[in-house]
Amino acid sequence: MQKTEGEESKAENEEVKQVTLMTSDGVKMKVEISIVYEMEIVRSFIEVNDADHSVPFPLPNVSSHTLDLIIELVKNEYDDEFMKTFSHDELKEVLVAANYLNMKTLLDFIATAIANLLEKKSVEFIRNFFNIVNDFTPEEEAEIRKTNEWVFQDLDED
Amino acid sequence: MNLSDSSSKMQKSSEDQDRISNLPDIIIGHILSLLSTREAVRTSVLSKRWEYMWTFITKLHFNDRDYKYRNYIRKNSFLNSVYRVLLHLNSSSIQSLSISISESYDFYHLKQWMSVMIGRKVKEIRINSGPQFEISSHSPIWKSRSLEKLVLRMYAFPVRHRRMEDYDIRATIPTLNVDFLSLTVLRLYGIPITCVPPNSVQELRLNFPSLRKYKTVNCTWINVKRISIEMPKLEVLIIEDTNVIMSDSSQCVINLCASHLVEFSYSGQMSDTMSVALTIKSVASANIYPRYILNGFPNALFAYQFLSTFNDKVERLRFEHPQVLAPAVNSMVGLPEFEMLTDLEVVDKITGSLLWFLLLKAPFIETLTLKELLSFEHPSTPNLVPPCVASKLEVVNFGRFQGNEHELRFAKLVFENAQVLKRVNFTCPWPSYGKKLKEKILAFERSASAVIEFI
Repeated sequence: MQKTEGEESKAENEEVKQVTLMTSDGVKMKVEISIVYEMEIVRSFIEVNDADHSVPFPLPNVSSHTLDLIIELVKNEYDDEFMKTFSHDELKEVLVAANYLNMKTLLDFIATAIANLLEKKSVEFIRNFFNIVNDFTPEEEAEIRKTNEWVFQDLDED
Repeated sequence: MNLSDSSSKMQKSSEDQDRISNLPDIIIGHILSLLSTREAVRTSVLSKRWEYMWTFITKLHFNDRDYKYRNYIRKNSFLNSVYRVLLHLNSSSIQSLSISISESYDFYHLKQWMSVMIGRKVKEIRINSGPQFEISSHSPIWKSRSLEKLVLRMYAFPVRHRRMEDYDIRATIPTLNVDFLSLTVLRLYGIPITCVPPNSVQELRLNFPSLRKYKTVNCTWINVKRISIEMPKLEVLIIEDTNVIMSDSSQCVINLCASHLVEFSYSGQMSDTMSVALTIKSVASANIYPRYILNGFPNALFAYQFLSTFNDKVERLRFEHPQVLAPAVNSMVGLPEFEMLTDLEVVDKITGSLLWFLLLKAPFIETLTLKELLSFEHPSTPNLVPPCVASKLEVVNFGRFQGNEHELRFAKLVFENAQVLKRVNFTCPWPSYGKKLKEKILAFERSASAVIEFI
């Protein structure tokens, strides 16, 4: 979202079309207001407070890299092909950020993508994906598998 | 769903890994709801935190084909699993239930499941089944106040047989007045429907005050004589292959009231076993696809009825097999003008005389699309040109233009008389047009400088 000087002053001369966001790694990013409006948490702040848009709005839970991905996704109208280039970590980062920023459409989109990724995957794959530490004893785990036998039968692990 | 509230519970930490591991329950529930329910339950084994996470899912997806055991075990296993899930669910309201079954189960179970779901104010139900599913007159579905979307695919229908006793009724409407207050989308596929008490005397009245989209494909009304469906907010109405079976030889009369309709599509028989009456104020686009063309007067009359319904209300009309109208041409003389029609497409062969008739009846046509013109003679009064051709027609698409004399005659007449013509496309039935034919067409006298394209 880097803008040249010329574009910047033009935007200021017209109405406010960009909002400056400050990411967790201290990067100030100018973001088009149409994209910012999808972020309910920022939108409600802007609307309630007649805020000075030149003061950066802090997003302590979103990194500049994640915000870049989100902006590209919104700009590309949630393009599947673009999202397929994401790493697992990027997917999760965007999921957490979408929830934090309260972006409903993005959240649905990314949750669906993750669900598709997890469908028919092994227990270990899912543990790895969410960084889950298995805190069951082998006996406890066996007990749960037995109780819910019907979901573990006939399954190709991995 | 407002997911941001729960984010405050998140541990603030600079470690990204922690943020991921501590995903709020509500987001996990959201993702689990998108998995098949069997997959969601499997996450109970991930860790202690996850053991009961799946019980918060709000969307249920069951498919008995996921249980690839020998038949007998598969059925029991599937039944048990559905009951287990329904018993453990923690969400007070359920967004959707999607269920696909290929085995036969006692109707008792199916009714129980529906009952639990309706009790949890389910908003969407999708059922995919063969003839194993039934919605009886006692089904809780008829009493739902929360249902917004209902999609039933049953394919219960032996099309080959025409005898009454061959039809296994799959849905029975319990009273003569049914209201679905919240329903906005209704799609029915392959369902034989009847009602109790039988309505030989009274009218079956269905009220859908919120319905926006209604699609019915290959459904059969069995021994229902009069049906009135009120859909004041309906925008899209699609009817494909509706059948009627009567124990006597009487007709089924279907009245559809949809004053806010935008798109209408009818395909199927044009037969005298039923009559469809539409009450509409206007409709932007109407598509009529008659099937099983029998060149009889009843078919023609059926098709003509639709035309007269849309007559002064439709902006865009697509008509397949327009020749079905031919036997009713005498009745059509009294047809008023198509006052709103700007776009006419005939999706099959049409004779010159029928086309001429339609053009005279539709003075505002701007776009005309033809599939194939069978004939065309100069009208007996040579100076008579349909008003739409002279002053409105902007685009003409000639499909399968073979360069026959009658086709050239019609094209010439259009070029000579259409004063606001902007574009004419000729689509060739073989790889490309010969030079001679192109020259012949380009040499026509033109009243307007239209772009001509050979495709």
